[in-house]
Amino acid sequence: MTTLNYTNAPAATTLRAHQLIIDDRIAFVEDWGDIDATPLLAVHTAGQSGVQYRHVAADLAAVGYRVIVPDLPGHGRTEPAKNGPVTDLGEYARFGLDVLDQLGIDRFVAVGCSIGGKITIDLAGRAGERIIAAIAMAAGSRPGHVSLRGLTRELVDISTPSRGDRTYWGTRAVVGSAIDEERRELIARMHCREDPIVSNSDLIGWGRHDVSAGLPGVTCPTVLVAGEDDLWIDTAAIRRDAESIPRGTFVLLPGIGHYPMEEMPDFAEAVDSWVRSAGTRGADTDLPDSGGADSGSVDRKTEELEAARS
Amino acid sequence: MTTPLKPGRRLLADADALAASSPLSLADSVAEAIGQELGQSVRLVSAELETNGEAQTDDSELVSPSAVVTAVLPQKGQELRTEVTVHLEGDAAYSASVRFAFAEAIDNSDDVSELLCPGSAGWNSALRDRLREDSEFSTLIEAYDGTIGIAIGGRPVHFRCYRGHVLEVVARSILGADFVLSIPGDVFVDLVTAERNRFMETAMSGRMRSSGSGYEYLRMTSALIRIIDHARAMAVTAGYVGSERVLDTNLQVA
Repeated sequence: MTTLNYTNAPAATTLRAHQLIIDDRIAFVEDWGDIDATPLLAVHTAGQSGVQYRHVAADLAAVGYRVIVPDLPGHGRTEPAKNGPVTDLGEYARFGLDVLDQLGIDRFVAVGCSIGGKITIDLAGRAGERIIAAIAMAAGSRPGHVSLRGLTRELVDISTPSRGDRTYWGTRAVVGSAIDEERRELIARMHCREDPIVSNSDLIGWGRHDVSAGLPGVTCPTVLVAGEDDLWIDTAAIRRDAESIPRGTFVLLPGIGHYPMEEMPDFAEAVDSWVRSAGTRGADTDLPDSGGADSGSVDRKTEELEAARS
Repeated sequence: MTTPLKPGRRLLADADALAASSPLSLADSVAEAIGQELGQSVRLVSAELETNGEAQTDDSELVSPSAVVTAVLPQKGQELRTEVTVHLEGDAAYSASVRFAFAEAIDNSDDVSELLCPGSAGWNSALRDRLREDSEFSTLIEAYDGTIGIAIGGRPVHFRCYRGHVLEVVARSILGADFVLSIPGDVFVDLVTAERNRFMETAMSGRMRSSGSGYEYLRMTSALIRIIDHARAMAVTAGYVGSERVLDTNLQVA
């Protein structure tokens, strides 16, 4: 088994942030990198917040993106939605577009993970002409396999025994085998900051949202990314989804689980590589100059992992 | 068998795929192959067969067997029982599992550690002693008055707990268990010999089944993981095959 190394100690960085007003509620949005760089919308997972991109947003900025990281309604520093916890991921997709509209951003790269991945697929269908490339991680187009009845029952606090324990252990269980113990522990502890009601509502959305019918109509280059060790997803189904999208591709990550942006030390280079290889090369795509990116490093890392595991 | 096998020992490694026939015929063929591998002095004493419901197998389907020793236990009368759990996977629809018990005469049953049989009286006692000395486990059951139940390859183990104390670890508590987590023998061997404690992954993959109070089962999530931590340490002590992979550093708790 290979263990990924995190050789770069966290460095202090400076970023911009916005408090926008969306649907009469304060929305918190991080804004990293050159304001004229290629915009990249980064969407977090169920119950979490933009803090999931804290280790990689600066890296993405360094390879040429303006990284927009919103906290979805009810998450992180964004106030709850006016009508209560959101169970329709389409609402989150509209929220993401509202954020970009308020920041004056037209075309963008969309990146999301888990419900954020499903939201990204939704955006690819909903606003494909605005999207340079869509990178949907750890998500398929069809409703996720969860117990809607159980999740609905657990919206009542008395029905949520050991919620913190289950989030902690459940998160650890879907972090990839290549991830060292220190990083696994950090990811799981950070995920325990959730609001259980919001998390469950997100997962109800995960279990309901179906954008499969729209896949053949998606016009933007779309990359569906799956971690080999992700117990939450059906990798074969996601591969089929990618085949259903005209400019779709599928990427399998050896040794990675459900949270590539928290697990991969070379996540920014990987994203840049996926964007550039997703049918965008040579086109008028508003991509950053390629000088800052070392997309080859991703291929090398994948080869190293595959060699070590074989 | 001249010396007892250890749980985790894989059998039928070189077995060819079998042509599908009736489930009982398949089980009989596999039992014979295992018997030959274990030695001429063993005899089959029981077999529990469970199929995936594909009762009618197709003659053209090939079935691959995989087998692992899941428990070894001395019996009265200087006899040794070796439990072997077999999975039969067809290349189309068929799958089945069979739990065999083979018996063999031995000279001195006192030489065989009961730690080789998860769920035996000796294994239960050793686990009880470890849990009683584990302050972390005590903390995890501080607000619990009840009985945790697990079943390992069909052998029930009840943990009677009260306010942070483990009163007993036995096959059957007086009022029964609040819930029972059923762990197939081969799944348990995988759990206790994996590099790290993969309890949650195993549960999420549907390889274990719970019954009884779902509320208490969820409430005792961390306690169950801690129990498996101790079972892993005991597997290392008893020399389960594969336990040399165990990497956890939190085993030195008792």
